[in-house]
Amino acid sequence: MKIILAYCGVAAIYCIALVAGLPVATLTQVENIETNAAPHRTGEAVDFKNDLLPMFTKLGCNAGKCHGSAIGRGDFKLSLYGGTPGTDYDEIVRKLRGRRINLTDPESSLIFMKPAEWVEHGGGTIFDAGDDHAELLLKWIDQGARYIANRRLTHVSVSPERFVATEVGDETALKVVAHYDDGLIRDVTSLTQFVADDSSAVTVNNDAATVKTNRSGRHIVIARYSTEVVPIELVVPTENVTELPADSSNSFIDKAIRDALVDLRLPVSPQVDDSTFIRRITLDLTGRLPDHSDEEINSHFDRHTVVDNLLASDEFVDFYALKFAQLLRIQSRVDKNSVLTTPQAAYAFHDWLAQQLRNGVGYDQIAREIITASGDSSEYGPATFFTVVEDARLQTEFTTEVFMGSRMKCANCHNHPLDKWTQDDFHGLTAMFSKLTRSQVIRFNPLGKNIHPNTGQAALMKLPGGEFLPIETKDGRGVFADWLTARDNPYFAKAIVNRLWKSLMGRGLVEPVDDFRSTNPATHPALLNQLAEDFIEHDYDIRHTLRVIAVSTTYARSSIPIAGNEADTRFYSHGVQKALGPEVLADAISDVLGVAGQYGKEAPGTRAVELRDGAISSNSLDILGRCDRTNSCEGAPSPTGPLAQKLHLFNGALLNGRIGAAGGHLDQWIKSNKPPFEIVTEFYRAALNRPPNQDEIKFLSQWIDETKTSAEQQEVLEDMVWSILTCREFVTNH
Amino acid sequence: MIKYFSWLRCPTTFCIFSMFAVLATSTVANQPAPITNPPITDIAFAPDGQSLVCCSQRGLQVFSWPELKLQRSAKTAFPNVQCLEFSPAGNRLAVGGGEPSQRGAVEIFSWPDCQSQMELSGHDDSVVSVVWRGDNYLVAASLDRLLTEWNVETKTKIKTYQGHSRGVSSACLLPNGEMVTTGHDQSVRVWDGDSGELLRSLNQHSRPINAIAVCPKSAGQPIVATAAGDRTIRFWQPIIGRMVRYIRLESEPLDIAWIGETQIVASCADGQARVIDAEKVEVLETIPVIKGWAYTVASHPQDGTWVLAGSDGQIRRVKRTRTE
Repeated sequence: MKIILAYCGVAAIYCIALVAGLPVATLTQVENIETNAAPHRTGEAVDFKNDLLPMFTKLGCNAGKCHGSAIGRGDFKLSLYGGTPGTDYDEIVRKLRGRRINLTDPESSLIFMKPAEWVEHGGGTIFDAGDDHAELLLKWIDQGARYIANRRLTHVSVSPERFVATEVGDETALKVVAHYDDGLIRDVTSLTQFVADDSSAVTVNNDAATVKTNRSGRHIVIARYSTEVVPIELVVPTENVTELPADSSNSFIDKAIRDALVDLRLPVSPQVDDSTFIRRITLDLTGRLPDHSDEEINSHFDRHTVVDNLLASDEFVDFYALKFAQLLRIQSRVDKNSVLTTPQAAYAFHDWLAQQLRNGVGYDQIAREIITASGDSSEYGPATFFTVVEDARLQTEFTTEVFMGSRMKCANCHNHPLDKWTQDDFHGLTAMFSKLTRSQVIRFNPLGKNIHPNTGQAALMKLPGGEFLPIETKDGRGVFADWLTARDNPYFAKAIVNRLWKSLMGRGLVEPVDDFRSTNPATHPALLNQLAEDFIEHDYDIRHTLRVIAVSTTYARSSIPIAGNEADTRFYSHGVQKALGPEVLADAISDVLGVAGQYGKEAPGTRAVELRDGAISSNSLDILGRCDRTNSCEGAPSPTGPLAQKLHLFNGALLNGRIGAAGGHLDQWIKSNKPPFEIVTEFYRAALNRPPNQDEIKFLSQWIDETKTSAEQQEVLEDMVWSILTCREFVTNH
Repeated sequence: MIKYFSWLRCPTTFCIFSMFAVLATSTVANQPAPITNPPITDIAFAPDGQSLVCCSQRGLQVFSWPELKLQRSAKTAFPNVQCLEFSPAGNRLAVGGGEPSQRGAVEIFSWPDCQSQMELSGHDDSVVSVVWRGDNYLVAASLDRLLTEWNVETKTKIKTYQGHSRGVSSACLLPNGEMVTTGHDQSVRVWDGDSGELLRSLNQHSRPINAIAVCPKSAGQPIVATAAGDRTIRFWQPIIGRMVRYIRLESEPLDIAWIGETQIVASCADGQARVIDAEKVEVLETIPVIKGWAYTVASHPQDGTWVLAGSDGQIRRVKRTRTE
């Protein structure tokens, strides 16, 4: 009855507010909802699943560093964050002949005396006898220590979901409300654990359920009640006072980015000039340096047209085929003297991917064909997807990482501690992949099974976070593909648009891009949703989403910080400097020098981005940091590159052996008696897409002396080319 | 009252038929157990077979046999009572237990008058198993990882068996005087009964071990059975350190008792009793007995009946008739 009255009260306020035109609080702001999170104060039986386990979670008892660890602590093991209430009940009540519970004298129960530290406890004093938590526990024991789960939690709402502080030091109270399947809505703040993503930025008081901001920026606090985790966003503006310049862009991207910048009072860097833009977009869409001799581009410059032309080019297909080949870990592979992926299979998959991109096939269709592939992988490329990892469990990790951006690996051994995935989810999906032969020819194997580690029995096929498949289902991959590519799937579209966003913007809205989870929210959640919706509306067209991003004002922002936004790494107030990938850098060097690289037994002149097999040998690519594709390739190279790469560039044969090579640009131009200054300018334009500036001209003039001997001039020019190709401006896309 | 009745044909050429009647009784005269009844942790038939002794956090309770009428109760010196064992002469009852994580002890009661005679203290955690070595010596196994042998007459410690890396869960004595113990460290350990020296460790179990029972056969190598959290029952020749065979069940066996020389009955975490052919390692019968966990099982010394007990103070008698 109290709940009904509470609803009525809220409804009345809502109506009055509407009439008066006042701002309206939503129901998630729960000011009037009944607070009955303390069943020990009522006559209701204590609910083991909905009261007691959340209490253990709040107190940290079932955290990974305590009894929730894989082997437990002190011979007492709980499931991580209460993920499996049934086994927790057995552990607490039934194991060791029930010695942890004393029904005749609840206060003599080990489960009470340990956290109260009436007996020695490795975790120290967790609660004081007499406080709410202790009373709840004692009441449950006094009631018979029963397994009661009166209702099922449907979802949790927090208030506020987003808090914009006025200044550093602002504090706010948090409230958490649980919604159950029987209609009950109740305040569970006292049973909720709050954890700051960055404890130095936010101080959390779990007893009072308050958070205090310690520095400007955007911070995340995770609220955990039962198995639900909800992120709370705290925004603390900087001390800047400058207002953002007007922006006429109609792009939903620019609006979302600008809104966040306004909240944070972050100033923005200016738009880049045309030459910088064309270098940036050409590298981002084709993995190549722009052709500076293209007069049409330089004289009739229109950014939208440039983007469209690049997206329509063969070079785009080559480059994005490489990106997807890295994502899908395509490479020939021999393991323990058996061939798992033949070179022909790697070529077939790479070529198939390139064909899909060339034909503009929707990403949903691409994914579906890969997931349901069967046949000889040497002839039918998508079947190679099932040869790149060793077993069905790795296939589950790989598949969910690629197509859902989720790291489900943890759920192999226990329910995921930071996400919703359960062991049933992991092993249910693995059950589908276990019904495949894992050899060159992929086919259905009705005898294949995946043993569930909890039951010791063959796991039943199950959709992640969804239903078990009917027992008569044979090959479940089709059902999985249907679910994955459904328009309302919450993972699929977001995962790919986030990857596309990162490929152009240098940082994912969710980062790392393969770690989507409630506890790792997007920097701009609404923007991610809009990008995904727009992608779906345009039939999962990869080119469309790349174009939308590429023509935005946000994309064209300079990577040079200005006063006030130097520390920003997440809000796109300035562009992100991106290190050129190993293949792109190798090709760029070859293009500037006019000396082709050599990769394995590939035909001379083959570009690195065109290699169809990641296993093709190349010392240069390896030293430049090529991903070996045995694991995820998501670790982005740093803008300055690793030390080995720098040393190789400075001293290795990749540059020094090729700068003056016969037949190369430098050699040709010297032999054709081109003036030294023109030669240097040509290299500037080829490498940096600009001529030398005034300071550089002044500096170069000191060294270029046409009275020197030809040998001396060649030495000076080689040094200058070396300087251009090793500078930060060349090895990054900025 | 017959709660359940089942029968099946055993897979033998002799067409042996077994019938089981589960006769429900409890500590409160067939009424549903109140929710505050603690679990029965151990049971033992009196040497004369005329009564059944049960222990729980309520202390000791003695029931008439076969009526299972409560005859008397006795308080114990500690709240957490874990195990019972009659002395070979049948005039003493050793009761093990303690206060969890604080102390472990054995209390000796006279039998049949059930008077407390002494308390043997010294462990840091509950005693969970007691083995008599003759009428004047007993070994107490504790969750503090140690076994202690006592001279009951002098109330003095004789020796300590030290070797388990986690709590000891059960112990038994072989005919040759060697001691076999099991632990939460997943090991079966064999000890020299005279010196207390550890002779060997057997490590095939992959989860904590719950119980051990010696086969009553009189000839050849002694056989012991162990029941563990890996859902297996394993059969061993401990003197030569050999695992002979094993069987994996559908539920975790919590306790085991031999029925003759070739069969064993296991009380399981799903409340069911499973009768197992120890030589063919196959389950002959699965019988639902109690709701909850069946912590303990005991076989009557004469009449072929066994009793399971466990969660909520439930005690169930299972009568078996066998026809060829």
